[in-house]
Amino acid sequence: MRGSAAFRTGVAPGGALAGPWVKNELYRKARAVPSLDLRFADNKLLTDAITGANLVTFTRASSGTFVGSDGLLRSAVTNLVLRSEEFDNNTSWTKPNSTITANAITAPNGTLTADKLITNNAASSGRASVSVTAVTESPATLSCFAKQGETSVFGLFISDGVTGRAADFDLITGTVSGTPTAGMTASIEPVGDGWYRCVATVASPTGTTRSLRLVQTVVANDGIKGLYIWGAQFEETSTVGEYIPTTSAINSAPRFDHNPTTGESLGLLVEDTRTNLVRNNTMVGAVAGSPGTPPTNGWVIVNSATYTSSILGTGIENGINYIDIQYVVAPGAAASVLFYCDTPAASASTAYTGSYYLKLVSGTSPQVRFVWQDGISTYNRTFFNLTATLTRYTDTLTTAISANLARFAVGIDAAPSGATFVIRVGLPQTEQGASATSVIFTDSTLSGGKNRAADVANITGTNFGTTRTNLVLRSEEFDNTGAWTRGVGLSVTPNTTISPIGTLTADTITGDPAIDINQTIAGTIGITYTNSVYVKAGTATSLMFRDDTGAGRHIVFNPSTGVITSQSGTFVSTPTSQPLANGWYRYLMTYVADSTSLRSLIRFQSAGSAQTFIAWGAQLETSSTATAYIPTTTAAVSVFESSFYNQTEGTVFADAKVTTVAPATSLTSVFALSDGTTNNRITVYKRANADISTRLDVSTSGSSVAFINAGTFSVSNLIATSYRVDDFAISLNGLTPGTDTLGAVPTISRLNIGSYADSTFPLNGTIRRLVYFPQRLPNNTLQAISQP
Amino acid sequence: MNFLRFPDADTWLVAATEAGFIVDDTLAAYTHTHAIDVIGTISIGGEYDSETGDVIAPPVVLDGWHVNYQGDLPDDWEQYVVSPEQPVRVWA
Repeated sequence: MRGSAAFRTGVAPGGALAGPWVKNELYRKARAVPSLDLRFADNKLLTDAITGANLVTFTRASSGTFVGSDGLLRSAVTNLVLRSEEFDNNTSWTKPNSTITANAITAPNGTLTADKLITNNAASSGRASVSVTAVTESPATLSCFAKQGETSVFGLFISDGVTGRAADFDLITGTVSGTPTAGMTASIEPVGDGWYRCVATVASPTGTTRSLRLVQTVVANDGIKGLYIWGAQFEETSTVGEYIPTTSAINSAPRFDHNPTTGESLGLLVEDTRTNLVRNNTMVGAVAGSPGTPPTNGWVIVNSATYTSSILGTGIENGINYIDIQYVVAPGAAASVLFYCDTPAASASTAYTGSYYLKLVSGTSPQVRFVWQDGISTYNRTFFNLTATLTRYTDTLTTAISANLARFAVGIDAAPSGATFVIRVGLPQTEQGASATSVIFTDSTLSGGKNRAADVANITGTNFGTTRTNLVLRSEEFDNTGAWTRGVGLSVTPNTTISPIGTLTADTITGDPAIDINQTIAGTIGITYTNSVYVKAGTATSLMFRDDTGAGRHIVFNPSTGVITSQSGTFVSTPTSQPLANGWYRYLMTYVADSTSLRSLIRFQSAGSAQTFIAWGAQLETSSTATAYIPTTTAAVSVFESSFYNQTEGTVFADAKVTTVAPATSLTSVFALSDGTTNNRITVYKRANADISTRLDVSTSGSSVAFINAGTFSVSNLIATSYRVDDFAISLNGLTPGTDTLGAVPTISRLNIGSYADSTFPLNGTIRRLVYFPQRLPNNTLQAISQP
Repeated sequence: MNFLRFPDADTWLVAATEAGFIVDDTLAAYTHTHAIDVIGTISIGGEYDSETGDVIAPPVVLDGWHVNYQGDLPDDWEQYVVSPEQPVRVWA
């Protein structure tokens, strides 16, 4: 584990002997250097500031919106092509006249994931094809990374069902080859190592059918020649975005949000799934006039004897689609709704949140209010005044909606003296939930609205860490007859020789031909194991290292030279020997078990009685490669290794913001360390409780260990929390830490960012920064680093 | 994306549980490998008073329990796949 030292020193910050923590204000306050520092707000990247590595896996199976640094509402780059790096997948990709060799060459990201596209023996160009259903009339941009193989002309093709358009790319010169079909534009950009990103855009396709092709345009006809492809992407935009990999679902880029007013960078936006039930919130179909034509499908703009409305026009301000409506209100007019868009098919007894961007364009601001109607009752909300700034106003109806309608309207107070004003209305949204989330664009075609998928961000799998286990018992004690079985006449003299690590722990084994020493270990059929042992030559000139009793799999080697002279059985990779100092070799075999009874067995193969060899460090592990040796005694030993995480003790600092604090009924999570379940967790969240406190919640093996309430969760939250056996603490915004002094630390295998232990209960907010220190910082330090 | 129509909510719950999407009564709707948007019943139409919102004609509830799904289809889920000419909801 990296960075496990506390880095404490008595030298003043900045001094010549100062610790590395002086470089950063948080580190200085902590007087420690973290092993993970995710500076989402500063860097607008997922990468760890400590190592530069990207450990965070992020997905969202739909588009999503956010506010850019320029204050504009933007849509995240979304890749609509499935299996963007798996052209061999026959479900997603058809291969007319072609074959795919999977993982044939190193991709632009350095992984062995690029495929070779080969034209088969048909007299036509080969291609990988995929179909995508698109939004009507939206621009279409197809991109793919390509590298020359035996052939060097690559093509992109987009058909909208009416017109097929193509562009070719020369992968030697890095240029667009010839002229794309009319209606298509193309570009090519080098990305290194002979790879190019090829891009083709159709600005105005028709219909919703998109047939896409990646083409090896040279007719080679030999089933061998081809070129390399990787990272296909289809976007419904006119410009190509950053590449977003996909697997079985579409994927969209993480959103780094900003305050629309101040431009402050807020960090990684993590939201729950939501559906905007408002149909056509982009005002499609509106026509200016008096009264004009309201947006298509469901929109009502009140125009009566006392409320005369005119549609002045539509437009986009700061990325927000709007409609301008002028009202002339007659003196003495009664209170009324002004406009709404019906959102039918709402669920009963459910909280809904509505939102509108509103702005007073001209005139005097009337007293406006939100009005909810559910088909039975009308709920008039509190009046407020509009301003000259396009502002998003929200309202949550926690009273149960009781019927099939969730109409969310904007209304006006009675006007004794009349009024004339122009109101700008933008991007209405009605969503099931107790708080407003980011805008979801809708169109006029979908009566059930559009759904934004949840953001999923975590560090898991090998990015979090790995646990290795040596299954061999008494791995350095071949003299232990309880663990090791000896053949007739075989003897072991313990601790005769210096081991590879310099200890006097290697054993001399003496025996006759065909006699062995072995240990049987329970295994699982179908699992990949690697068996290894350190051997140094004695008088024996040939030894056998054998493992699986089911297949009799083995190697025979010369212990003096380390040369493997023969092998028998099937291996995952070629058995090897690794030379070490002082005549030692480590012998390795990797195989898939075909028996539940595995062995670590060494047998004398050469002629002559009373031969000898020296052995040390036997290891059997469930791995496709041999890893560092783990010594064992009476039991198998597991070792957890992580680039940042310490299973024994640690501290997490989180800087989290929400636009509005979720109500008492909602649990929202800041982060969770867990094993993917709720049984083992160290998690911090806002409670679903009337006191809306911030809580550290620890559970080990299904038993609750600590519930510490740290204070009221607010819009801005600086949280520092530590764990160690019988020593848990949390401090919120500089408050005196709450503590718990009893309990075991759970075993952890993932870090969920902005969600709970089982990936539920998203934050619905932004994480500015998430930092992990691999040591339990003192309580006064927790208080110091969480000080606003 | 697959549009799925289960006969009823109970069938959906059983199928989702067998597929491993529901564990301890919690639906893992969004992971790195799949996305599930449970629409439930779908109501279409309905007529409401434009001033008061009062129900004039209630909406019609379509048959089945509807789910939008992205990811590899679990075994035996092909039988629930439908192809609506006009979906009521899609992913953004």
